[in-house]
Amino acid sequence: MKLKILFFGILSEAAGKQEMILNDISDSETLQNHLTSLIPGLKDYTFRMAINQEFIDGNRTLKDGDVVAMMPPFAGG
Amino acid sequence: MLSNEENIYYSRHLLLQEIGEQGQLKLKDASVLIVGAGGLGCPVLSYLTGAGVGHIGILDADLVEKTNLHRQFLFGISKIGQPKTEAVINHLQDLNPHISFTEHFLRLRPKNAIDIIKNYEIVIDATDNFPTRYLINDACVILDKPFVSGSIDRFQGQISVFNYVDYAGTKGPTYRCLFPVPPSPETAPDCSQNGVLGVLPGIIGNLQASEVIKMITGAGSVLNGKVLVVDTLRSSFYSFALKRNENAVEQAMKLKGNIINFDYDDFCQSTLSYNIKQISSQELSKKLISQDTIQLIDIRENGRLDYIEGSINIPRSGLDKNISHIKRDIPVVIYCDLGTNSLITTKFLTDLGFDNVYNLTGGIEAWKNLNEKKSE
Repeated sequence: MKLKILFFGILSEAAGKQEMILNDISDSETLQNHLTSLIPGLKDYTFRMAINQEFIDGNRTLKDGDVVAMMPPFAGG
Repeated sequence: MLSNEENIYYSRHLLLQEIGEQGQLKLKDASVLIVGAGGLGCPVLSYLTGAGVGHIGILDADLVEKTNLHRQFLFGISKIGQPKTEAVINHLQDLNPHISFTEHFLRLRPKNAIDIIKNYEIVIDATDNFPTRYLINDACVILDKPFVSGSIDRFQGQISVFNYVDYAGTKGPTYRCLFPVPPSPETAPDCSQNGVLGVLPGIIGNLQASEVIKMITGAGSVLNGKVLVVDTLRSSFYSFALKRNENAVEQAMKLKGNIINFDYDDFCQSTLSYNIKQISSQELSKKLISQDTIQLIDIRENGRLDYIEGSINIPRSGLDKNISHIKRDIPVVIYCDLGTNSLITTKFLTDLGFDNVYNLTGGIEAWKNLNEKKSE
């Protein structure tokens, strides 16, 4: 199974890219741990995770084709 | 009733079935507070004035700076150094003489937020910092007011209508439901550190104004329970569903009657994980009275009137070129408006090997507060 990860705001700087494809990750908690190991310093950022354009709380099962967005708060105005 | 003049002025609105005379009269009766007359505030203010919102409050403590002009079109070169609130009202009164404006030339603080916000039906968050974003959220939750949130980061923006009650009487999510905990300042830089595409606040501010008009007139549906994210680089709009989180709402509600004692600056710095030195206004005041040698550096852009006596102004944008002017053997105190940008600069200098650098916590605002208390 394939997942598409979209990074927003400063998280795309931290990740060094706007999006990435990851394979075979079963749930959102595993995904978060995997991203934390891929992206140095990610644990210091505040962000919300959304699956298929819905912000999630707690752990969620992921399925093939899911789009996961990593959304930090924006400061500017 | 609309006057003949108003019928002409709003004729293009009156032609819209969704607005019409009923909607225009609702706009005329409405009162909206815009917190922040900057990148987001300028388009919001322009379009709500044009749309005929009868009473508009404008809150901002800043003066117009040259670095504002590439995106804040209510000002021009001739307005540099003027309070933004004053410059904005001069411009908007000419745009629509049917509107009454209230000027709040001050910073929104826990001690004044409730008294100001209670006079308005809808609040617009057009600010550029997290302490004020959380303060607006909490004051609106306590007062049961909806607020239209906008925020930007380089090429992207977020918009949502928070604490909105729908036709069925159900309350929508708040800013704390989206982000219960503020980011550490280092991981959430603002436009003055990170830059911003000039048209971006224009897009986001106009979307905020559009939400306000729908909330007042009842046209269409409101961006409630959803966060709209605009990405100008991808040319894409994303709408994310968001649920109300009663635990997060409770964090705001429990400040009812007590918001004045909540330190928003501290709340927004508490997640800092790195080790940098801080100094409070009280400690700094003692050191200055005992005439300790201190290098006081104001890192805000030029043109501020409220500096601390004896300080030098090295704007953050020019710091790299002026590093040699900072002595390493004398303590350095860095300050800005709220102590957020200066915190990042303090870390920057600490990382360069300056081991005697302090951030003034709460910035010039905390300093002015202390001196106001002394003179009371």
